[in-house]
Amino acid sequence: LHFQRRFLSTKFTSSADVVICGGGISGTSLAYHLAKRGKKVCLFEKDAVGCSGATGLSAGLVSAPIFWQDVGLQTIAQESMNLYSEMAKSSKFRFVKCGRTYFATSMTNEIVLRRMYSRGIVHNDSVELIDCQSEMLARWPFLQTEDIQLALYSPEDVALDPVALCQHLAATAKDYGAQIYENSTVSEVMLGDEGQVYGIDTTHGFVETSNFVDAAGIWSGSHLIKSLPHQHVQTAIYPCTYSYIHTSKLPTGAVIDSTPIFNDLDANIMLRTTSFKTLAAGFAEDSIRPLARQTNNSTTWVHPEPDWNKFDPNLDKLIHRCPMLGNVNHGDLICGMEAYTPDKLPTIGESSQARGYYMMCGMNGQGLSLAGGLGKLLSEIICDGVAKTADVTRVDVGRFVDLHANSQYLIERTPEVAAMTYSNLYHSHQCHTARNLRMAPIYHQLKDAGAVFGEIMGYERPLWFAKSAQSHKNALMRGQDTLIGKPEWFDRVASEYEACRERVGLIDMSSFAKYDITGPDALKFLQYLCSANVDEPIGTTVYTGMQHQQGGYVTDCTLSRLGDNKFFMVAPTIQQERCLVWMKKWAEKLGSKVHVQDVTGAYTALDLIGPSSRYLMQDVTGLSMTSNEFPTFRCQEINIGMATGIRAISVTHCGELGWVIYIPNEMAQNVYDKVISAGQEYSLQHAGYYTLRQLRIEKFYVYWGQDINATVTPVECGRLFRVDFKKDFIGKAALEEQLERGVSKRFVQLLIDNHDKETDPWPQGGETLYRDGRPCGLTTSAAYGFTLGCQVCIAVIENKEFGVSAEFINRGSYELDIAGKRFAVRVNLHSPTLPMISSEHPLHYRPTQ
Amino acid sequence: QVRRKNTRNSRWNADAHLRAHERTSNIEADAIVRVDTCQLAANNPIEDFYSAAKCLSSRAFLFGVYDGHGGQQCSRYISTNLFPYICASVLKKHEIAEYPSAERLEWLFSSSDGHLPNAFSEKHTENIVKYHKKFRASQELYQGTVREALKLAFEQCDEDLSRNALPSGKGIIDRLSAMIAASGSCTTLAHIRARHLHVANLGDAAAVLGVVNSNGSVTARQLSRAHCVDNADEVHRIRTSHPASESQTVLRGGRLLGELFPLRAFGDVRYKWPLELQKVVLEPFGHPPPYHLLTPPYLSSSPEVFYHKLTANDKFLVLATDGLWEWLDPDTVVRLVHDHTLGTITQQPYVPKSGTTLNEVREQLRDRAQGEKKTKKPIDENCATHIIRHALGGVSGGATKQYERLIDILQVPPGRARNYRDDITVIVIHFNDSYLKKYDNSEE
Repeated sequence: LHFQRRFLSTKFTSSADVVICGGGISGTSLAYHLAKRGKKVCLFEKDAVGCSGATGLSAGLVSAPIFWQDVGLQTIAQESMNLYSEMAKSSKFRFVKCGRTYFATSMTNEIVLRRMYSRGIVHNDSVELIDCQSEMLARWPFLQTEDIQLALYSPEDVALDPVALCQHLAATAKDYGAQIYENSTVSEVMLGDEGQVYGIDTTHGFVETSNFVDAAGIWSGSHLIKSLPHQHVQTAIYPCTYSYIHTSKLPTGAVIDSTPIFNDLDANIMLRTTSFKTLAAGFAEDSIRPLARQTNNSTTWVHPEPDWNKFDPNLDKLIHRCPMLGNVNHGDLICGMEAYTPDKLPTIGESSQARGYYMMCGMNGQGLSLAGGLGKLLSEIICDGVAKTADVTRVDVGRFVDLHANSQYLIERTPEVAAMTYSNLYHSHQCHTARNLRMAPIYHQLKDAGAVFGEIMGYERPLWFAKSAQSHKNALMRGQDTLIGKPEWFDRVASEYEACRERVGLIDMSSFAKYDITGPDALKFLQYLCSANVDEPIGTTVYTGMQHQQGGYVTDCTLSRLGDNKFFMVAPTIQQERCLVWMKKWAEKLGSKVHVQDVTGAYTALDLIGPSSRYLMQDVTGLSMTSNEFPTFRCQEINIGMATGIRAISVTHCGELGWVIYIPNEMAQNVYDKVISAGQEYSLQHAGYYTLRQLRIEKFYVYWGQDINATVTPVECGRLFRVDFKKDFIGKAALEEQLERGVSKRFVQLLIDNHDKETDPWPQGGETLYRDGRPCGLTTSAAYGFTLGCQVCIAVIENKEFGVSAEFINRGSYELDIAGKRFAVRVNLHSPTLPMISSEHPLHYRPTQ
Repeated sequence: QVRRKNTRNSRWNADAHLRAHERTSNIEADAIVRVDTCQLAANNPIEDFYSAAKCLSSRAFLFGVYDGHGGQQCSRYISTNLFPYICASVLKKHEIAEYPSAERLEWLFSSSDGHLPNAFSEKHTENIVKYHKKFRASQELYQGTVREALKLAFEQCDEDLSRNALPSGKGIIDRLSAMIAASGSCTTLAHIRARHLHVANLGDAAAVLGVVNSNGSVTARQLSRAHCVDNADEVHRIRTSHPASESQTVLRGGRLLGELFPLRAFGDVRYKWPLELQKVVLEPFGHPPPYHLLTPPYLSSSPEVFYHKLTANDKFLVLATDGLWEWLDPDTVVRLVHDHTLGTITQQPYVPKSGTTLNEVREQLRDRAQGEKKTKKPIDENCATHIIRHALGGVSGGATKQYERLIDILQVPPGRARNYRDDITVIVIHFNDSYLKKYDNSEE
């Protein structure tokens, strides 16, 4: 009878709101969140829930939110933690709040820990910093702690049973009406007209659905989709090995069940000891192997061969930290597979290649810590269109373009990423693998001029210019900020800054996303998408945001009107894919006759900044560039020397006088040479992206992706003056409502006093701001203000109870906590007037209001 | 004590046995630095031959391995007589010095003596001169490609070999010539001119190129395809060139006419000549024609030629007869050569024995790393010997295990050894990094 029932059940046709592939932590968490919100969910797992894949093989360690530098990820991790503890209450699976201890032996990691501590104490005062060796020894006698400078105890980390957790999540989802099919694989995803998912074929039968979520871990993106060019969705994830030794308990009575997990940041190792077993993991880069990309055929989980030889460097460090470990049996070297992404952040959201095809994968070894919260975010995206709990910008699938899905690129990059599983990455972090992929045509000229490059979206962008050309390999890392003390680039950037303020500087901005928007409905379409009025005369450039329905920024951009229905749009680099998808989606929704073309790779952009830029532009173009002839916020097609078709836009993105010239790539070298030789007369100097950063933060320009994102509205960031309420646009209602209700968030500029740039920790963004001794906000980005002569940060102050009026802000006294050290700060609601030592003062910019 | 001495002696014996026919030639010209060769006999006398020469007219280097079957005569003949044909077919554009066709060849080394009986050599010279004229006269060929020239040289060489065995005007059959024609030879030949590598292959020997990627890993690129029943194209070629009525007999039991394993070869006129001719020439010498010989020829002597332009990533080329490929796959061979050139011993992944502690594991790993450094020099300096040692002794286990297996297999005397293994011939050609790097971007 049992057999018969099974047989009958194999031939079904059904329908669901959402079909999920994968019964690991990602799939079950999402199924739980969706089912709870009343969606009809079907989950297919090719093995048993929780058992196969990275989840089944994981050690079950959950990192507390304190680990993450990024606010969004902190929220996600917190959501995960909340979910799991709630689950643990209603079911009896192993859930031990054992905490975690991080060790630092170097100065850099000491600061990392101090910053972690600053984040931690805001929410939990039992976070501890320990710098006393005898105390470490007393607490953990089985460890060798002599060389440890600082230890951080984070009490909230959890060790749990991952399989039981998944099964409980699945069971709870079932109670809410979800259907869970085990031993069942998704064999095909079917796309209908317009590339919309309409059904899923599985070994159990056909399911009609318009939403499919790919939570298949290392198998993500391997599902057959016949109508796509590659027959599957291209994803920027790649499987790599991760290895740990599983052995017997340490021969000491000092280890108990609540002994914390140990992470030695400098040695890049992790140790989990309990009263019945010991797990010892290491993440040395050369011990990690990229594996073959999984295909749909290879559905069985094959363990990669464990390689003791490769694990050797880790073993050395493990035994050094825990000498007792050397006396236990060798145990098993477990070699698992996990999906890694190029930037160590997970991937969720709707793929641009198939409508209704959502991704939830690429957990980078932190699946348990993040999947609980990511499931909630993705359920919000599927149900409401926008994630409300946290900003998804950094984990959104749209941050990747095609090149990121290239196997060779991923093979080179992912072992490096996997090696950083327990490292904190800061905004300026530079990878040493998979570099020099996208380069401006003038890359080599810039390199010869001393450029130190930083990578963004595969693009090599000069961050600063050294005195001479950088030849050695380490040049890849010389663009990083330092956590403490003056960075290497400081003096050079000071000189670049001075050139931009006093003479003329040249910054390569080729990486910025660029689009041509044409078609009979272009104007109407953009008027509806942008919050500012873009119906300005031809030759005008408008700086505007694009809002989503809830009023938050989808992006900010400059739109230059080149013709009646022809616009040139420039957006932040990281928006290349996302903006395009957003515009195409709305063009289709509105039925607009509009054509959006991504021309990012077609133009080289040179930003000429500074008072002398006017004369330089006059020299190279032969045109009059006076403030009457070519005022700011204008665009015009011009010739430079023999080159034609150059789009000159008088917006510098940093509030200085100047032009960005967009040169067709084939002529870029010619024009560059021309500009350089003409610029000699004005002592033109190359500048890098860091100079731009110092310039714009001093002037209180907020940047999308760093300061503002989809969770911030123009009302909150003081950009209402750019919003035109006289027309209809996406998000208008939400903004009007917010105006009426008032806002509880406000962006401010912080000037840090008494900061010794040689010896004090440097702000990076993400520091806690205290108002009258109580936390009131976080910094979003930071730079050194060369004119103001101090560290300058942009911060957001939040007060949910009374809102943030100017009076509220001015009344308080403020302190900023940078890596545990408090600095008195002055809070500016508006940018200060910056003195110009020479020449004209640009009057065109209006700082944030 | 005695046992240890015995062990040492038997090891010494095994080493001596392996190295008896090894040879290293430092060439240091153009793309080639050094050539290692080694040979191990299983037949008595050995049926494998190898040779190397330089064509003075085109500055091309020629390397060949010849795997004989049905006697050593054919492969011995080919090892000395094939190169002159190739030197006679130098393309016009490659001719850098004018030499008479007989003086174009500079021998580097060869496993057989280069001398032929006088009567023979006269005829041979005559053949070459004739062929050279023919080649020069054909504008199409003379200005054609190396691929075509190699093909023609092979075919002509086989044709002459076969014609030599025919009865003379007086009806006399030369016994030696008949033996040469009746036996067969598989051949893999590398033609290296500057950075241009051509591999002409006939039969089941093979050429493998060792390519080292930028990340240090080495991959094998096969530059030949075995002409045997596993090669679907060959099977198709043979089946379609004979009437359908023969489809049951032409290939039987994986062999040509149920007898011959390689599907292309020099000599073997039993599969090439018509029945009547065989009755006259071969039967008297005890070579009966094969059954089902209906529509000869069955066997082709036209080689398959692969071209490869050498880059700085190409580190070495291995030519070896099928005796080697029976034991080792190309990936293992290139790994062996690569490790050998790096001076390390190829080792299997480490697996701890049960009961070892992590401290012991660490020590053992350290010992291995140390050992790798200490015994940095592999046992054999000659890379070809190194390959044969691993082919017979296995890649896994420690030195003791390896020697045990090696001694076991070497104890079998030549002749009887054929039941366990085939003759093995290996040529390893090491390329010049800096030469290839220098010319990586240039045309030549």
